[in-house]
Amino acid sequence: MSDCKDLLGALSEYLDGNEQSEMCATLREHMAGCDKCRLVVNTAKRTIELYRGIDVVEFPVDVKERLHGSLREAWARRAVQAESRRP
Amino acid sequence: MVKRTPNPLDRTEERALLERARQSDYSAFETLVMSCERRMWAIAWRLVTDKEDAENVVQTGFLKAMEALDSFRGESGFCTWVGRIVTNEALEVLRRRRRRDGVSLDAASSESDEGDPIALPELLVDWREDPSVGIQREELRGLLDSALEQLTPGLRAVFVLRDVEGLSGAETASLLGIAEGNVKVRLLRARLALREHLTEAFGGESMVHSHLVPHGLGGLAAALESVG
Repeated sequence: MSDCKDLLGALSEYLDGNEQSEMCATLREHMAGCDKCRLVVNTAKRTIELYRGIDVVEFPVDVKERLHGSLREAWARRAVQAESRRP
Repeated sequence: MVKRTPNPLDRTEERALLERARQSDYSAFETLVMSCERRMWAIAWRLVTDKEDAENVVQTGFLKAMEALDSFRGESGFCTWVGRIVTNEALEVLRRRRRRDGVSLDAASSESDEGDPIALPELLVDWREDPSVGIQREELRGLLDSALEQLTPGLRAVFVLRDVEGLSGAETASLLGIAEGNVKVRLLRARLALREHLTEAFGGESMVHSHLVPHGLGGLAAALESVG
């Protein structure tokens, strides 16, 4: 039981692929005989994969149009200001 | 009509576009914007989870980048640079929300990340083979967003930057103004909390509670909320 708790700190390192470290080797060894830890590691890994794999909500067309409209306006204002600063 | 988003730019193209943009060529600036606007939207959306706020964050981010174009030295790529601005804007939105709700984000972020014990996994049940089977993509997105919303801003920001955006621990630490050790601790807390939330959704009905959790500690999410 204490093994499981002690090894929690190695979870992130393991998920980040630093599997060569001594702590990860201990975790891997422990997982071979501990279903619960194996389950936590696997579901944590799948959690990250799900977030990486799913497309974020589409960039909405209306937001995109407003963004570009506002950038064009700001750019034009900037140009006028730059012009007025010329000697 | 706005043009379609182009393919990612390489550094040489990017430098040439920056040079043209500095010489007042708007189409060059627009191409730079389009090369990373989707990514900026993704960061903003995942951090603030509200369309209006995310729109303001992205817009302010690009406007600030426009204003600072002449001082941008190009040490990092354009998108990384704008990403920093957008992340800071999003964090400011979260701070304002916390102040409005009477909770200080700064107080939360200066807490002792490393000193507090990590809440232990509680829900121990395997997921179905492929969680995305049998539910619509929109529903899956909704589940993932809703789990993310349950994290404190400090945990959410670390998870989004490290695990979704793929920034290094050092980059994340510098962006959030916290120590790299705290990034590691927060990332572990965030991953465990999200795993717990998603296990509730994908783990079927017969939840097995962990032998790891001391009796009477309460839910993992509650424990994380109190420290994260």
